[in-house]
Amino acid sequence: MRARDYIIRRLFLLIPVLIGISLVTFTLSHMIGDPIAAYLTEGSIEKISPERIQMIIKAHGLDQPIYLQYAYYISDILRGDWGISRADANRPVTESIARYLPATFELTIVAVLLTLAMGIPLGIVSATRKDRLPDHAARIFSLTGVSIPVFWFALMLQFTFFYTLKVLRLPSLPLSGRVDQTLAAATGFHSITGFYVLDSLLQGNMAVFVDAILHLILPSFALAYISVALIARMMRSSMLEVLKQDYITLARSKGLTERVVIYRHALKNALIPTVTIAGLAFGGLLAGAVLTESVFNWPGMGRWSTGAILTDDIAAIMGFTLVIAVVYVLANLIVDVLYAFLDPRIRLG
Amino acid sequence: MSMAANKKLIGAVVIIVLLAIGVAGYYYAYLPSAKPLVPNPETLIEMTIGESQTLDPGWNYESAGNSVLELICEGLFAYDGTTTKIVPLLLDASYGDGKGYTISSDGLVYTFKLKSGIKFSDGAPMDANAYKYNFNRMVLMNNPQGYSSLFYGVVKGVTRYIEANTWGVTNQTEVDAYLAGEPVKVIDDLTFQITLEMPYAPFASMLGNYPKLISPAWVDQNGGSIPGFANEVIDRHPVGTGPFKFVEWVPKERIVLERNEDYWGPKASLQKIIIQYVDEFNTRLLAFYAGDADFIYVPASNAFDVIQKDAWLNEQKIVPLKAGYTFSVDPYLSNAALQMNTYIKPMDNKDFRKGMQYAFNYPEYIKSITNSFTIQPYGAVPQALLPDTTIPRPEYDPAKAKEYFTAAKTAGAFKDGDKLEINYNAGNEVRRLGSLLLADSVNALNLGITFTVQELDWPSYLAKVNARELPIYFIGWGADFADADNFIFTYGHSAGYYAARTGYNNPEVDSLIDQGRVETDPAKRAKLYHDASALINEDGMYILTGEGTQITCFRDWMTNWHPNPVLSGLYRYDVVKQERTDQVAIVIGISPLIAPIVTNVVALVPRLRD
Repeated sequence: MRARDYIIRRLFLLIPVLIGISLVTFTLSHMIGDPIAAYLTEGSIEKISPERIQMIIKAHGLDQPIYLQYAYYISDILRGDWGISRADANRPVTESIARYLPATFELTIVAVLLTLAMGIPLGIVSATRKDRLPDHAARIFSLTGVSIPVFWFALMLQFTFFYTLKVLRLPSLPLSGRVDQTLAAATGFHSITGFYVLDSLLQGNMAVFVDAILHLILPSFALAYISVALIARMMRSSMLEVLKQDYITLARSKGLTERVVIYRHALKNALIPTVTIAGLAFGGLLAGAVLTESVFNWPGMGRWSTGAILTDDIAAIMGFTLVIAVVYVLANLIVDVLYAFLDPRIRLG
Repeated sequence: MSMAANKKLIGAVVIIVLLAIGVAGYYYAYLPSAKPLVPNPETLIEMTIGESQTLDPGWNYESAGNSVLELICEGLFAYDGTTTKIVPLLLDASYGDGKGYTISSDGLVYTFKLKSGIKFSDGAPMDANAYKYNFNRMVLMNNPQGYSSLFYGVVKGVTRYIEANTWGVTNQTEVDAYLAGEPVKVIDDLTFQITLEMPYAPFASMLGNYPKLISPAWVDQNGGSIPGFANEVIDRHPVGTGPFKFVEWVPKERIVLERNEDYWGPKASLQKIIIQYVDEFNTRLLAFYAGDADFIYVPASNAFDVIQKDAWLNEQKIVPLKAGYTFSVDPYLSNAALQMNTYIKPMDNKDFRKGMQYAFNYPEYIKSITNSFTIQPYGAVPQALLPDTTIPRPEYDPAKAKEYFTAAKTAGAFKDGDKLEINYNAGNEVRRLGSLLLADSVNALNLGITFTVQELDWPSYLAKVNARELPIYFIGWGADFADADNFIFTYGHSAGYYAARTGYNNPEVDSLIDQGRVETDPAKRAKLYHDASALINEDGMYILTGEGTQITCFRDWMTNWHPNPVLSGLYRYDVVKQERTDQVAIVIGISPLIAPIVTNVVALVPRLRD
């Protein structure tokens, strides 16, 4: 099957996936919590009378049978009305997604690139210098990352690279957030796409461009470091497998340099399982790294979705779930297509 | 060791020592002695949690939004300094014997006179018509999450409107009926009247918080005021008469305000206020120490990260862990209680309820669970509103508790093998521990009935509370306005929110509270509420666990602040940022990685010299 047809078929399969996910999520959300909870804060819970609660229920159709509520919800979705997010100060869910998804996307892209930039070389070094000091050092480095609680690691990064440097009157990295608000206001920066690095370039605002990158360093490193072990170890084991293959022996016997053997012949094949892991990791990070986003006050999907779950904000939960489902399916599709690119023997479909 | 090796060793040590001295010298030269400049001298940066739901003063009913709104939109009154006394703000203090209003002899008609020349920040006049617009808008919107129900049974026409189907739909019949009754009547440009359904002594206090005024022109330009519906634009962007103007609200990030240069009163010293929403306490603390935040929210659970624990618990003394900031604990008009539901046995038995009251270990709860950030109430009204320590209240007395329980058992209220659940809403650690404390205390009496504790996620908690399915559970109340009636009516009157929910009905208490609502003499009111509080305590409906406090933590360059028991957070209008002669940098020490190295090397120097 041609790649184009394969991609189109996979995209069509997205529709039943989304329907199934929406049905399960909608039903579970209503079964586990009381939908009225999304319209009340914990503070108002003790001040609002039962009669006024009934007013809210009636106004939002919460007294209708669940299958009718689902039908109304789906029809609203198709018309572009994804509901209101109580966890986001009553903003439309679409607005919340438009705001938080790019923030998480930007952080995730940098984190994944960092993960690959650290993990792949570590895996190669480990494999080519198996059981020697570089292999042990790489193992310690990567396993430390997976062992450290990300929450604590993020706080230590802040303490070291923000606070300690600041009190020593040395240049320091930003503590939290996406951009320095005073700088943004002073230079007239405004969001266009939601990707601040891109938006600053589009506006020719180099000060904010640099500032946005600086703000990305600590949170993306915190996220990347915990995933490095996965990539590094997978890369190591797949590289070891590939290096045992006959064609590698042939390449060496032909007199090719080790560098050429590894990077031109072995790496591409060794990358296949790593690409799978990276794709899944990307999808997982995009769902929102709650702890990292909380510590660095990064206004992303993780913080928003956690607030939605804790307050039984069904519209937000549904919106978030549908978006992440799309992301995962697309991530898997990209991984599958990449397989074919990396290994011509693999045929799509 | 050879001479060459010795020389190398000495050389290495000398280099290390020189480096250490250099680092230490840099550190000592720059940090403790240098008086830090005030960062962002004209901007106050607050880091807190709990983002507002709305900034529409027509229905904002929670403290997070209120603490922002009070800087942008003003009401008729303000609170006087650190007290709960209301003083005219938008009202003309030369009218009504300094109060800004008069009351008709029958107590039903309040006449208010506004100050002249005040404008909203968009230039629209603040006058009697503007007030009428705002009051009516609030009622006609009737957002169930809002505060319009406060005026239920108080202001003419509001009761009927609220009882009708008026949310999510524009009920034009009811709108017309309400407006025809003209509960707010404009007399002249600056004078208006509000007519009540019945005399209500706390009415002026009620107007201290609600409503705050928004520019009618601004509302009309942005979707208008549609009865039964909120306005999404106004939810996000208010325009008022206050000392600050709204600039922007970036969700989950910040709200920014700037000084209103055309403010009718003394201009604020601050040019800008930035309220940042930072959920993680350690992030807030690092920013605070580094000077990037002037004021941070410190929950009681993190207080001992900022002040000495023993000094506070043992002596109620505040000793900050470091110099450079102020930590203050002040009264806040709120309280918490365990409520007993007489619709469920054995809570319908008075002796059983009294037993519960005496079984609760109040001192232990206050010291160990709330870390002394609360005080034991005397009655349902916080002491900041009713400073009366003569109200008889139950104390922790297991022997007395057992007597009451025995009497209840004899009367058949419960039998051996019975079980009872204490409920609290999940995530509230104080309530969880308080529930466990009560369960342990009662179970220790070996009465034959076993208490267990069950947390409920709060949607389920809400549903069960309103369905009257829970026998005993935690509640809390924060003041809507600074008057004792707001508390005692809620807890004690049979039509009050809490009392009605649990079937509490004592005609004598009702009568005392009704008298208090119309009595204008403060001493007589205090006596009425004393008697009502004593009866409520005697009836055993509640285990009053604590009265709230508020914690304020800010850098020492912030001056001219004052806490107020009604307002949450720091009232920022008065705040001035300026250097002080005793100002210091916050020194939390050099990095833990460097300190041991420096210490050990410095200690080595005398030995090397020897």
